[in-house]
Amino acid sequence: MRRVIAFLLMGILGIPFADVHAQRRPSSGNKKPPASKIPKGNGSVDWGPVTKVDAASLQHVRDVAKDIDRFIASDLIRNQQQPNPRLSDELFVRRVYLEIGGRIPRLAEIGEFVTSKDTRKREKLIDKLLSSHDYVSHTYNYWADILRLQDHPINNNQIAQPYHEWIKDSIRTNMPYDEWVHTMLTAEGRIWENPAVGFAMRDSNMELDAVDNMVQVFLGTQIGCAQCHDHPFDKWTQKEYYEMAAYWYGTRTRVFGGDKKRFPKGNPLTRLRNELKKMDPEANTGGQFSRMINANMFASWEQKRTLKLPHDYQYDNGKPHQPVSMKPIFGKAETVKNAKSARGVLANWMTSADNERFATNIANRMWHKAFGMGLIEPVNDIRDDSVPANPKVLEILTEELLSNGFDVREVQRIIYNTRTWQSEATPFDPDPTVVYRFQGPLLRRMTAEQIWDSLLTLAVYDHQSFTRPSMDGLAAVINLDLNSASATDVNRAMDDFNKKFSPGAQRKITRDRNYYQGLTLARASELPSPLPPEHFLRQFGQSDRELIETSGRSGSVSQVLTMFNGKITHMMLERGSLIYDTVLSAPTMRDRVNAIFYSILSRPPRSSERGVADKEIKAAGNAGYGNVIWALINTKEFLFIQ
Amino acid sequence: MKNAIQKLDRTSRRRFIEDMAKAAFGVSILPVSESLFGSAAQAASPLAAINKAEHVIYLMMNGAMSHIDSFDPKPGKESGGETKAIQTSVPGVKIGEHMPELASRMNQLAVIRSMTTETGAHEQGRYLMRTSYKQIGTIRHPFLGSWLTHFEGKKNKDLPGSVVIGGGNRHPGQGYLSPAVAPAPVGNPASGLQNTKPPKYLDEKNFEKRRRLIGQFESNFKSKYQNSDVKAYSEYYSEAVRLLKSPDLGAFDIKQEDDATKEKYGANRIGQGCLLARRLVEKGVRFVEVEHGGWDNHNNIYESFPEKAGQLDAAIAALMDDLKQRGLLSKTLIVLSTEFGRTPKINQNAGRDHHPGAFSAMLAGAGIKGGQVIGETDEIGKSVEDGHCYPYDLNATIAYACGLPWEEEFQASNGRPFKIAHDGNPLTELF
Repeated sequence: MRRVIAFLLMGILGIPFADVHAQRRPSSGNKKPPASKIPKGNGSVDWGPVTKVDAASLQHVRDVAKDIDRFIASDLIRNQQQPNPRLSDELFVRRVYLEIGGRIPRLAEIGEFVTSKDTRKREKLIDKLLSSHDYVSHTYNYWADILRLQDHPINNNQIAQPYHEWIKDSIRTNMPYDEWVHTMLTAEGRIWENPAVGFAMRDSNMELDAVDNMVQVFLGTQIGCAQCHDHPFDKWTQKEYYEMAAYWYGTRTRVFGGDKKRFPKGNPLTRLRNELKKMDPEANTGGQFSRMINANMFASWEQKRTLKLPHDYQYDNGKPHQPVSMKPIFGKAETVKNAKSARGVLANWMTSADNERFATNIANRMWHKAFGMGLIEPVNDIRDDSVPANPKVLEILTEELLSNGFDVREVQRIIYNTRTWQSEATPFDPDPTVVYRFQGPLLRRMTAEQIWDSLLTLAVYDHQSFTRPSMDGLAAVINLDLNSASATDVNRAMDDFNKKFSPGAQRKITRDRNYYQGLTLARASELPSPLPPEHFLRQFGQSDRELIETSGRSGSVSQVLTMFNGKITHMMLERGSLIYDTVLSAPTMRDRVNAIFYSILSRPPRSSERGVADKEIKAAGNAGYGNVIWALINTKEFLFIQ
Repeated sequence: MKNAIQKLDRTSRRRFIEDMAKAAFGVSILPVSESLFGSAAQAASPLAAINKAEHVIYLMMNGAMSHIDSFDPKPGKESGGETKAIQTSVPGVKIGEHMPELASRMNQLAVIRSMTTETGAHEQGRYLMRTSYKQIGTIRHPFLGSWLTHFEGKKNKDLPGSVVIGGGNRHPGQGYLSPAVAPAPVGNPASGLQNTKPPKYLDEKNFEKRRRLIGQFESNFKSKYQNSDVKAYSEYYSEAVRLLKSPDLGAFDIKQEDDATKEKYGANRIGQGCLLARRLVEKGVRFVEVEHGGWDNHNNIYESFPEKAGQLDAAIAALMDDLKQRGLLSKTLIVLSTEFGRTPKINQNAGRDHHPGAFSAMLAGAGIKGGQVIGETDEIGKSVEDGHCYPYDLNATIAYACGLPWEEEFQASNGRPFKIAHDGNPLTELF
């Protein structure tokens, strides 16, 4: 493999890519340099294989992409607008890695693409990236923002990581979107037995809010206002909200310790604490001991439960405390009777092909993700009278989902293959008073995760190898039958948990493996959530995962300070970082400057830029390379996706 | 110039303003620039000369703080929950028992018990509270800190005009105003502004050289992309450099305070936030917002509320005393606010749910007549009985206190008219 890369690099850069591990620093003389502090990664990725995109459907993808281009083009002509210029290979390879893989491409990856003479190389690269772990990581970040994925949501005793791993697995195996949503809406059990219950757990004990959230996420529709009164701007009444919420009202997520039927031997928390006290009067019955028991109190199941209108209900179509019957906010659903699961009916209705808004919502979201603007805006407020910017295009994408069995990745594949997407970003702010016709994507700053993962790509040899310590095997350790478990069982669970799964144990694993100056060097998808507000990712706009889609892309003074002086920037200038080693292994100044520009901006230097870089390096020697690297990372060209 | 604009008919006026804006800024959103509305800054409120607030410290309780357990207790009623009322230093005025320090300083502060808002959704509620406008997709409105800097200018040219401490994302920031008046975010008040120290090897000369390199390497990109986000980053770069060179950079470092002071404010987020706010105001920052979360008490409200409210109580008391001692309280308006209230009813999880119908706010400092309670709620704390105060009224009050032209109407490039505090009217009786 290295020979192949070496060959490719010779091709574009003329760099003989020696084994940099063995390479001596040119200026180090006889003194042996100190060991590098930057972790390299061991190359093992334990994510499991990614399901490949379907080679057989490629012609169909091309055809649909062409259809979309045709409708966009005629709309542009009708409005006397021009499409933006087609992306050059260099801009394309950068954009496609960022938008599908969530990071900038590496030197060798650029080389491979730019030097290829294959006329189908763009669609091949799109397919390769859609079938990569990079795609899994990047897509996970997208959903983590929408689904508000926190390690301990609502309550510190809840352990949600198995759910997060399951979401990554669903992306990796390309689970059909309707099946994915259906599974989340109907899952039962404890989270380590059935991780999809994490969805219900996220709004534990907040059944009304949960419905508002799921309608917003999966139907792009705002009914939240109607929780307390008829919606002032849309058509929803408070009664309709309650009728919709009635489906979810029986979804329980937390066992009540005082439930005598469930716990005939008494509240397990009290019983086990007393037992422990008897065994050892000095023992701490709170803390971890209680946490083990409490973690087992979380489970999802359904019970018969009737929702009633609130005590202050003020409209004529119902009375306070009047029970409401189940009814979806639009369309038709099966009747819930006898043993039929109410949320099963809800899930069937939600994900049904008849519920067009379910498909429209995700089609519109995928378009928004690719272009920075939805065909309907805002993406979370679709109404009956919303007019898409290009109705035909939204219709094509929606139809595609309905006919391909909700293969969302296939829809992304189509979008990325359009000439429309492969256009340069629009070099000005679109006028907010007129409809945007999609002459190309909007110019956007990278997301916080894209910046972080890109910096990791520049610095760490195997940026992909540091996955989050897995929760595999958690069930065997933590699962307790709360009626029969003894205090000794709880103690054993606690000890085993602390060895492998507790936050402390996880920190130790990462500290030994991929720490640099107090920072865990792993892709954004592999870090705890939420991160503290001062973390690099939060500074650049990662959400605290409290509310749906609250990540941001705007700048600030603190971001600039972090890029100027932060640890991550300076890691680039240290021996042992990939970019540093790569640059110094190139033989001539010309090769080195090329390597710096390609690595950071995915393009060669312009002649004027080369002049500036050469002058700087001649004046400052090796430190000059560091100054050029530092300056390029601090350009806006690095931060924005063209 | 202003008259000329007003004389134009609606369509051509819009075009005229757009053209002006494009000529001046190259963007289609109109920053209200002094050159266009030169007279606006002078159209100050009547109390301008007397006791104008030069600074604002705005404490934003994220998550919706219960009014019934803080400033609007309902002792003896079921809705009152476990919170008892205590006597304050003002006869006849009682507040919740978790705020004894504020109770003893009631004569210096004013409480509004008739706050009411339009939404029970957190993000939308906060947006409305900060900007006076509903959150919509096509335009972002400025928060008051940016308005203040916009009209009054920076007091200390090296430091940001406004700072948001402990902030989450999606703060409206400067909205459609220039990035030059954007707030600077500080994540954790204890660590202050991070990354202000360059590595040892990087002396000033070297740093300057690196900055020049940035400029040379990005000139192409900058001339190609005229987007406002790109321009905003240029602003942040300049501001960051000014800040790094400023002798007042230490204002961001609360470690420089002595232990007794730190203890007085409290070794917790809100205490440290207030202490940092005081240091920044001292060095001339106009507007400091301190965000403090954890008030969304759907579950077990009395497990966390007393402690949190106690920390808040101590922090505000320390802030008031400290500002007073430094002669800054008369120039600094302190505002405590939240996005909405919480239900009188305690739910099955021993918590309180969202309640936009009624909540409380508190003001102190600059020009505020202490010992007042404005408005009241019904006997269970559900509805406002008297003197509804909307988020925009509170903002108009702050604008009024700062001498900002709250009555003036401006026009955005899309033709929409807007005001600093929307249709809000200041509660002049507070002053």
